[in-house]
Amino acid sequence: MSSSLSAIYSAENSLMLNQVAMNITNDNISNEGTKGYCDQTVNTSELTSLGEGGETGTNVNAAGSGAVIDSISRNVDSYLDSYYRSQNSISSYYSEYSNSTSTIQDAVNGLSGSGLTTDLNSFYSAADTLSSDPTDSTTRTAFVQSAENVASDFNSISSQLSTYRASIVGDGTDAESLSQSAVTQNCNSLNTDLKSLASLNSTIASSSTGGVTPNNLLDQRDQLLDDMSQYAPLTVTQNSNNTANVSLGNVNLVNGGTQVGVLQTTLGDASDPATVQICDSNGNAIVSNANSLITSGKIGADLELGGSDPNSLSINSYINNLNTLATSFAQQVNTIQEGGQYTDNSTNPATLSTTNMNDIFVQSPATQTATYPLTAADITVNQNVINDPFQVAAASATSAANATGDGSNALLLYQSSKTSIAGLNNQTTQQYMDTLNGTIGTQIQNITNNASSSSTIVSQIATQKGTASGVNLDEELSNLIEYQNQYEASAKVLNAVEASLQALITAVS
Amino acid sequence: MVNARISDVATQNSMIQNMLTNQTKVNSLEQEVSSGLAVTQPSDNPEATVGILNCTNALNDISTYSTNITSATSELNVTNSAVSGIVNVITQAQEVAEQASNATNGTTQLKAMSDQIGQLLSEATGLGNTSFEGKYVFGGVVTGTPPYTTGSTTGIQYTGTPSTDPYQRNVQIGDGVTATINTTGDQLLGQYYQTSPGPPAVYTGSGLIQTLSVLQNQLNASPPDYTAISSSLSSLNTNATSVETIQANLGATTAKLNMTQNQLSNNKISYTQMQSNLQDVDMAQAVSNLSFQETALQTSLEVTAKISQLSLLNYMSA
Repeated sequence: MSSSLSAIYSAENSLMLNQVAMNITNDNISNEGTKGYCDQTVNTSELTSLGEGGETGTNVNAAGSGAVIDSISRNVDSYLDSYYRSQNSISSYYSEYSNSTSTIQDAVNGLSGSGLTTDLNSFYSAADTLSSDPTDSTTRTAFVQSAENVASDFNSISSQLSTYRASIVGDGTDAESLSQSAVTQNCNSLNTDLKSLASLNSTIASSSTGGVTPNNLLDQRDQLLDDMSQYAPLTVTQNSNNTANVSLGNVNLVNGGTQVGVLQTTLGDASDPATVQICDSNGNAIVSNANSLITSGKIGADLELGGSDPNSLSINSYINNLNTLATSFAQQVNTIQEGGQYTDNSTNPATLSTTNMNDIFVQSPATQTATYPLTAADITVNQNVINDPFQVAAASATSAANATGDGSNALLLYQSSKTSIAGLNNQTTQQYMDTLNGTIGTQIQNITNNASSSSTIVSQIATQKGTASGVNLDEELSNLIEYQNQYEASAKVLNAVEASLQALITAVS
Repeated sequence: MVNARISDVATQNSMIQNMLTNQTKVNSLEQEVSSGLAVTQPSDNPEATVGILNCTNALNDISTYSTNITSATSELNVTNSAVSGIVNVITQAQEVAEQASNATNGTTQLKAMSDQIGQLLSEATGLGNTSFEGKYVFGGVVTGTPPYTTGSTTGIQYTGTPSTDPYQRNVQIGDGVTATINTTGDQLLGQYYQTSPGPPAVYTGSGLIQTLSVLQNQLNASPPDYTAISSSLSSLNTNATSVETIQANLGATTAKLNMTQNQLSNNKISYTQMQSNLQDVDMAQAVSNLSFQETALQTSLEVTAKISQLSLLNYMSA
């Protein structure tokens, strides 16, 4: 037989329980907009008291014992969490990539009506005009000007792309440029996250004792893990004490409360200017080149863009393509130039000559003849030719010395625009640029499509996550009504018990 | 249908996502409509990009060829009128020679005729030095100096590129097609110049200029050799034939250029059309897409505004 007073205790218990439940509801409501907050639910169960003789079970003694809070659980779906992180890593990879593509595309865009494609066409047109009027100094100046435009296009595209590449992975020689590069910044951000996770882990471990789960710390932990996933493809394993270990490939980065792996960038070579290393806390390398482990995330995109993988869109491959084009183009033009005669204006009347022939395109700083290969960065128009446009060999080698009106060699130069070059995969210079445009367009389209589809996937998972873990105000409000009513009812019960006890006391006295 | 629990954050995120998607679509359609271009960068449509660039290259070539033909035609017109002038000179010379071969003419008359031939000779030489835009058209590839130099004793000498050397000035008028737009003075007019001052001075030459120079000398000769004078008539006929051949060739070149120009205009139209099909926006479709997307955006805005207001809170008494 339970005591009459036990009803008071159970009513009081109920009051306290509903107060806690209302507090949790309050917590849910006030954190509705908090990033990473997980909706919490109060789990209660019927309180079973010990029966007589120590047996548990529902008997008349146990009835009326009330309810107890088992736990306050976070509504998380751990599968969605890990799915979100892996997709977020892929999505960040593509979005970092697609942010960079416009710079590359703008540099070579042949549709813009300016730039290399247009200036190459103008150069050949100028050669054609020169062929019909080789004695006219205006025509010659215009030709040299068009050659200078082509050279400066090559220079500016090359420097634009190189500078951009340096901003992503450093220039490969200067430690300062590496330390300011995107890949280093991203590694540093990831290190900060890893460090925070390690210290959070130790706090969680110390507060998880005794079966209590520190829900707010777990929210923070999940938030950190989500944030980390944008940098690299990390593997997260959860320990029994609610701490989380993080590894990259099979190399541990965070083990419980300590950060065992630190990402560091070091100077690489020309084709891969940045090497990511995993070091221990003393700075000794555990993995001397972790580039191959980082296949996605922002760091993965940086390494890919700055690297030289021929199968992906890398800045370097476009610089190399331009170098090839610059060399083949200069070689073709110079070979024709060397096969003709220029006009020597020092004699009166002017005569044709082949003495001290100048190449049109040379390396900077200017020399008389070019040495191959040239690069897009150093191609320039020979200063001698700029000073005296009559150095352009417009006349054929077979013409007599007084045949200054011969433009047949300049016509050959124009016709070379239709000659395919073995070094350019048997394409003409114009076709090579067109193919480059087509290739870059396809690659960028691919990346843009992947970026938009992966970001759609991520936002869908985020919505699903939000559906599971987010707060629904309507639900909270109806819970609140329920808890409020329960509270009022418990108060009524207390009142009733008190009244009956009062009645008993009055009757007895 | 299962009544799934939906959190406010999820609802809000998906509403924002939808609005952003619609805004992006409206923005890109607006760009298309306002620029009139569907493809402005290679990634918009890589296949079309290559096609557009091919068209651009072809159009550039067409414009180059067309410019070449225009300037070549102008030069040919100048050349043609010079050649007509030479034909005229020959006709006049024939009349003079006809008259002179009549034995009734006295020395005074023959002297006058010799002056006339002298006039014609300098007219022919002048025509041989015809220039177009600062270039001497009959000098072969020597265009900077007048091809004919005249001296009182040295005679009339052609200093341009001889027709036996590569004298052709070619212009590109099509893919792999060039046209020669010039002829040399030595083919057209010949020359007559002193090779050795002698005495006796030795002269050599060819063509009309030789015929006229010889005729002039014969008209000045005393006593006049009427047989020799009349023999110059047959030389003049030969000269006339060769000049007419050149005239016919020039005419053929001009006709070929005109024909090519017409062909190029047609090609230009078809390439421009092809490029436009690849690059330009189909306005009707783009505008209707735009208005559709604007409606979609408006709808998502209205829905967002409405749903955001729905809450149990509105129905709870304080």
